[in-house]
Amino acid sequence: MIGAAPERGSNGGSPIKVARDKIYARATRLGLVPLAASCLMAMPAMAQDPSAPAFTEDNVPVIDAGHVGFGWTADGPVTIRLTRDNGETRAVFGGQGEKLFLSGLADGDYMLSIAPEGGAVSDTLALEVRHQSLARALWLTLVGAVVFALVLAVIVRGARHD
Amino acid sequence: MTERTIFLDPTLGWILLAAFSVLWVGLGFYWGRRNKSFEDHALAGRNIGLALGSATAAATWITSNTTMLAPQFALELGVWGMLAYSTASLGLFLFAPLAVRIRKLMPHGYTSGDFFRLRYGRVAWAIFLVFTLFYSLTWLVSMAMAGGILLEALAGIDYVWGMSVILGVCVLYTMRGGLGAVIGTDFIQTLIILIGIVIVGFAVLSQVSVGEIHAELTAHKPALLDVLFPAAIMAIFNNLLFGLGEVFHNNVWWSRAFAFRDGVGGKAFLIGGFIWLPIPVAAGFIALASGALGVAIPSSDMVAPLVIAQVLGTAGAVGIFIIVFCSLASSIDSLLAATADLVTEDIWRRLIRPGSSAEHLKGAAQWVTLGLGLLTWALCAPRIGTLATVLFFAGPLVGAMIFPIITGLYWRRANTIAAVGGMVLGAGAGLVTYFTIGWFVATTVATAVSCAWVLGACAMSKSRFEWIRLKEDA
Repeated sequence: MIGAAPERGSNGGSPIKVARDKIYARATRLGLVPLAASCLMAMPAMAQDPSAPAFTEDNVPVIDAGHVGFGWTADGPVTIRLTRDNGETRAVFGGQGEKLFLSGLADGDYMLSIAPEGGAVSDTLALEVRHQSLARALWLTLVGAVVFALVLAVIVRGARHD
Repeated sequence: MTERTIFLDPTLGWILLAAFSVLWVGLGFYWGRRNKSFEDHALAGRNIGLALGSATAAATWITSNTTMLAPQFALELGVWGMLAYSTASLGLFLFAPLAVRIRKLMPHGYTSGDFFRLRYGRVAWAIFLVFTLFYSLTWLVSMAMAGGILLEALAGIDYVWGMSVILGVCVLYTMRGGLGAVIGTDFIQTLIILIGIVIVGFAVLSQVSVGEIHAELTAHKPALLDVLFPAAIMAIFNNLLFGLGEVFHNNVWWSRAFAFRDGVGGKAFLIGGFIWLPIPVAAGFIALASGALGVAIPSSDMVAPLVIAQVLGTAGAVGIFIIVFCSLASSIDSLLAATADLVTEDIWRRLIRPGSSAEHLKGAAQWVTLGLGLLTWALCAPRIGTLATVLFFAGPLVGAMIFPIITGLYWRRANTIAAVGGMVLGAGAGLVTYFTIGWFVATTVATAVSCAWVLGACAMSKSRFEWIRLKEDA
C-alpha cells in the first residue's frame, strides 16, 4: 500500500507520513481513533512491503442509496473489515479477489480496512452513508401512486364501456 | 465470505452454445416454411392461439434483465427493490384490455406506428418513431452486449464471439421464420426458464432457511429490510410506470395483439403476466440469500450467477448458462421481428414504397431484420460500456407515451395537441429529473407531466375522433 499511496494524490512527504496523516485525518473525522491507532501501529510493517494490499479508490462520494462497490490490488489473499462509527466491526471479505459490492448500509460513517491474510492493516477507506431525503421520496411515491391510479381509471373505465 | 469465480469449461460452453443455436435456427427454418406474405411473416397469419400467446407474452418479458437485473434490484434496494421489479408484470396485466381494444379498433393494423399515424397525425407519428426506435435499438444493443459479457463471464467465451453467435442465431431464425418462429421458440424458452428458476429456488432453500436469510439481513444489511428505504420506495412506481410505458407503446406487444386469434389477446396477456410475476421475485430472493450463503459479490450485476454456481456447482453454471441464453434469445428475436416490422410498415411502406406487394414487403422485412442485426453488431462490437446504460434514458421517453396511448384508445376527445405536448413535455421533464435527482424518479416525473398535459388538453378539447378512421385497409 505504501508504494501506491503517493500515486494517489499525496501532497509530498515520506510514504509513511502520508499514509499516517491520511488515516489519522479520516479517523478523526469519523471518530474511529481506536481503529486508526491500530492502523498506525501497522504502518512500519507496511512501509517495508510495496506489494501490500491497497484500495484502488482514494475516496468514495457520499453514498445515497446504501450500496457501494470498491476494488483493491493485492498479490495474495486479503481480509477486508468494515467498522461502523459505533465501533462495531465485521469481516466482509476473506480470500483472493479484486473487487467487492456492499449493500443495505444504514445511515452512518464507516471505515473499510484491508490487510493481507493474517497480517496487519495496510490501507483504509472511509465511507459516508447518507440516504436520500425520506420526505422527498414519500412525495414522489405519492405522485407515482396518483399517476398510476389515473392510468388504471382510464383503462378500467374504458374497458367497461368497450 | 470468499469470492467465488464462476467457471464453466469453455469447451462445454461452446457445445451448449452450438446445440441451442442449431435448435433455434432449425425450428425457425421449419416454422418459416409456410410464410408467403408480409402478414404471414410479420403477424403469423393473425392466428396465434392461447397457449403460444401466453407463452410468448411471458417469454418476451423475461429478458436477461429479469434473470440478472431483478437480483441486482433486490441486492441494491432490498425487498422493495424485488417487489418494484415485479411490478413490471402490471404492464402485461393492463395491456390485456388494451389488446382487446386494439384488435377491435384496428382489425387490419400492423404496428403501433399505424395507431399514432391514424389517430394523431404525422407529427405525433414522427415523435413516436424517434422515441420507439431509440428505445428499441438501445434495448437490442443492451441485450446483445449483455449476451457477450455474460457468456464471457460464465464460460470464458470471447465477448465478440459470444455476442456475435447469439445475435447471428436470432437474426437467422427471425429472418427466415418471422413472428411465427419467434413465438414458437419463445414457448420452448419459457418452459426452460421456468423449470430452471424453480430448481434454483428450491436448491437455495435447501441450503439456507428464510429465518437465516432474515437474520443475516437484519444484522448486516438493515436497509434492505427497511420499509422506509428512500431510494427503494421511489423505485416502486418509477419501475411500474417504466414497465407500463414499455409495453403500452412498443411494437413488440402491439404486433402480438394483432397476431393473436380473435378473443385470445386479453386472456393471453393476463396469463403471461401471471407466469412472469413470480420470476423476478424468485430471482430477487436468490440475491437476498447471498449474504447468508457466504457468497461475496464483486459487482451487483453478477449476483445471480455467483449464488447459483455456489449452490449448484457445475450443474448450476450449466443451468444459468442455458437460462441466460434462452432469456436473451427470447427478447432479441422479438425485438428484431417487431422493430423490423415497424421499419418495414411505417417507413418503407408508408414513406418510401407505398405500392409494395405483400410478397415484396415480406422480403423487405427480412432485409431490414438483417440490417438491424448488422447495425446492432457494429454498435456492440467495440464494447462501449456506457451504451448499455443509455437504455435507462428511455424511461422518461416511454413514460411520456402512456397517456397519449391510453386516452387515444378510449377517449374520442383525445387529440394531437394533447399527444404531442404530452410526449415532448413529459420526456423533457423526465430527462431533466434523470440528471438532477436520479433514474429512480425520472419515469414517474415524465409520466406525471405527460398525464397533466394530456388530461388538461383533452378536457378543453371540443373535437371528437371517429373510430372508423382507425380501420384502415391492409
